[in-house]
Amino acid sequence: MQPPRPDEARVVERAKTDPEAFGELYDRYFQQMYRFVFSRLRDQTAAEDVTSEVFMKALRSIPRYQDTGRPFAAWLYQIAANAVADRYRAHRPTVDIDELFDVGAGGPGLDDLAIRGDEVRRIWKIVETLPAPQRTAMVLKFQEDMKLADIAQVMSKSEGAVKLLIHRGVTKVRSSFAESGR
Amino acid sequence: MSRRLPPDPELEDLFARDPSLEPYANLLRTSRLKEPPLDPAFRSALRRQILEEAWRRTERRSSLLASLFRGPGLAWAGASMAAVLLAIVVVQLSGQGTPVTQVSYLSSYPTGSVNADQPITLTFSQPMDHQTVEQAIHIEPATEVKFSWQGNQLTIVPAASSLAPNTQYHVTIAPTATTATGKPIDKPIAVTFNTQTPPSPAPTPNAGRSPGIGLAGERLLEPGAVSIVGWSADGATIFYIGRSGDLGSVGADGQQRQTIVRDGVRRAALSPSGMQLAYIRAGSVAVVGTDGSGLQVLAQVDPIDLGWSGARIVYAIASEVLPTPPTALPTASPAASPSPSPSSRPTPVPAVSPSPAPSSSPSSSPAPGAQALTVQAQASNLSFAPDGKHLVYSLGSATVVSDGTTVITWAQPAGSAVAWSPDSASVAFTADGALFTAAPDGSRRLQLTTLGMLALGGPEIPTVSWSSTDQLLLGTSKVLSTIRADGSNGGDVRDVEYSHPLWAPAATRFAFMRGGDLWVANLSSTGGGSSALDDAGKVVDSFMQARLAGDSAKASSLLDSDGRQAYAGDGPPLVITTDPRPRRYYVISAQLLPGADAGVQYVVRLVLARGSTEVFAYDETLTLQRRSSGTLMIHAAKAGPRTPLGNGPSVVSAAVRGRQVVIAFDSDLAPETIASAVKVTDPTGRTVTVKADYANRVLTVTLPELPPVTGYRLALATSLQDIDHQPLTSEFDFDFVAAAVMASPSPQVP
Repeated sequence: MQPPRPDEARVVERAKTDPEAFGELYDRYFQQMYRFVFSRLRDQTAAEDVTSEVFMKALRSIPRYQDTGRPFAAWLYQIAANAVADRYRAHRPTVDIDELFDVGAGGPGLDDLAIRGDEVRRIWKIVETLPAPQRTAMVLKFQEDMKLADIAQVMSKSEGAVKLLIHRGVTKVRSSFAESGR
Repeated sequence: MSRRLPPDPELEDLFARDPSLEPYANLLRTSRLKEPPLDPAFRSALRRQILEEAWRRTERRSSLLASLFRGPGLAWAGASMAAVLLAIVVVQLSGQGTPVTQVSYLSSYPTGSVNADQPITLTFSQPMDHQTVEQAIHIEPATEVKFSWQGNQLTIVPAASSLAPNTQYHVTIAPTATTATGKPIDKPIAVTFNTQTPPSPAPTPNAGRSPGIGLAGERLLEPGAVSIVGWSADGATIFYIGRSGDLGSVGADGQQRQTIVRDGVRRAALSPSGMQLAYIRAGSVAVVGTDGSGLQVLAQVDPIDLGWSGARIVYAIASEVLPTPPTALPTASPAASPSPSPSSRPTPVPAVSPSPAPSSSPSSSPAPGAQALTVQAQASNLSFAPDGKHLVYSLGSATVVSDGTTVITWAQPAGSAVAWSPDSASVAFTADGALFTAAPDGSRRLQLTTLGMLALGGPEIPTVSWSSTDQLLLGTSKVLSTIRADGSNGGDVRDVEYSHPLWAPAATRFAFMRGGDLWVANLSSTGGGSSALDDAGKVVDSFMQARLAGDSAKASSLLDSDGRQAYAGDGPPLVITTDPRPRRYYVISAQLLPGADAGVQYVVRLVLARGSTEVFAYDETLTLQRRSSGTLMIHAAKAGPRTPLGNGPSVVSAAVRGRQVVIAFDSDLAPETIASAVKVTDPTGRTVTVKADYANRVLTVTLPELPPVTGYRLALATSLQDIDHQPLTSEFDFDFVAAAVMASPSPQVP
């Protein structure tokens, strides 16, 4: 997750009453939210629907937003994670996770790249099988680079609980990876 | 596949007790997700939708607050409620605009409406740190600029040398700017101003035409023609000489071709009645009816040119020795005289510098109905007056006029063949790089304009045609220009051949030569000195001004019944009385639609504002048609979607200039995003290969040779970005007519 800009708090405050300021927040965070949503749903139409929902919810809720010292993006991720979870319950992704990752090609170390690519796909496939809270925590930590405290806000859990979710998730990945490699 | 990231202490800490997990964590963290597929149109459409919803919510809050403060609402709400609401109002009002601190930091800044050619000048009330100020400045629309300081005055000069016209600019200086002593400014500085419409209409009308010229309906009539003889009196038929010397006629609509004389015709002239053609063939003067009947050979005299004087034919013969005594050219009988001209000038009587007078050649025996006039063997550029009473021609570098009894050498020669006014009282010609009119004897010489002003510079001497409404048409292989005989209302079409133009009698169309073929085109800039585009522009302006003023009655009066229908029901609103309100409008493009009286299409942009802050805009396409009374009225209207302003580049004008479509933007664009964002399709939807060039906020799309029809579309996708990487506000489609962009189209088969 990109660090917040110095003027973020001021823009967010303005956005509570000024549509143009909300537009500025949209411009800053659209790509990030869309990317996150797409990575969870793996379907463009669904990602567009959910991203629309995220920003509409954010618009409706922003007058009640209170600065807790955490980045504004964490609040958006919270909305997005909930929206994704709702959608995920109704329609599980059908596109294979293989297609989500770049596959390196050409140049020295081609074999290494291929092996690594295979490992990445296997490992994220395992993540997809984890319970939803573990999965969400791991995605936010490993793909979105969020701080534990921010993830805690997104998931409405304590920081300790998030640590536990991630630790358990990675432990499960390790064991499943070893099993699948046999 | 992988990304480089700085170490994450949180993860190091998390897996410190079990290092065997760390490789899995690293693999998860450094694996890279592909960029997801994203439709830029979705992104901009969602933005628009969200902002519209945001404004609606803001308005609802405003109206709720207003209703609560009105009488009973406040009564039951109680004092504490009022205090809470009051606090909200204060927040809301401050949120409607950036807090302004110009008063404390700026002593002068642009405001209101400014000239787009002027730089942005900000004068600070105290010395500032130049670097932090420059870094803190943000300009919307995105504009590449250079800074220069003189004391406390900062001049911001756009890299494109001028600001975009018709644009609201927002210049903000972030609080990171500091004074010279290092003290940061406490609040952002915001300056908002609008740029003016350029002196000439921002969107140059279609095909490089200046406002005085409205060209449409070009049509290839006859491939392989050599010269244009004339128009029938009703303007329906054109007579020409073909490549093999055929004397033929063709309808101005391309129908009813007729070969009147088979071949060998060198020169021809149409009688004032339009019923007969005199022509020179095989050294003879002959006459034939325009239907091919009644052919008569009148004289075997080896003439060099001929014309008509009323019902009689006059022809010139060349001789090394001019005979005496002189024989006057015949006077036309009243019954056979051409129609009186709308303008009347005193017919000059040549009376100066008489030279040896010509007479009918003793060697010739003119047949009844024909009259000979002898000119020197070196004579060239012969031109008979429409009434047949005078002949002007070049003799070496001199220009002479003959009435059959007197020959006068002009005091100052004409540099080209002359074009006669319809009443035979004046001639027009070019000389010394300028366009002149004069009496037939060369006196009363009046310079109308320089050829450079008419974009006719270069060695080629244009051919001039003088219309019944005193409009001059000048054509070369590169340019067509029009100008009124009093020197006013000039205009031109460039980069296309219009050689040897010849007005039709009603001066609404003209014939011309292009690539060795005979063509015809409609030209509306005839009567009254204004074009259909001019006239339509005035109607559009009245209409839009009435709408801006909320005067629906006046606006409605400029709509015909279809136009009123267009603004009813689900159509665009005629007037808008709620926020955001229309604040101004400007013209994006103006085009004549192809076909006779097909109308004019204007695209106008209506800018909506809350207070003085412009927030939305939408384009309306207006089609104007002329009613039977001659009045232009708005016949159709179509509105595009509302787009929020201030986020991403917008098109401010679009025009066709010859084979190029020129699109101007309000923002500096990211050049690497342009090529893939431009698409031109033909009327069947097929993509046309084009070349896109960009410089100084102007995108120039060069087209290949295109058939002259309507239905071409230039589309700009929202993948087009400005230098701040903001996408185009919304997709932009420009429907254009390719009538004037072709160079050598395929012939039209009747």
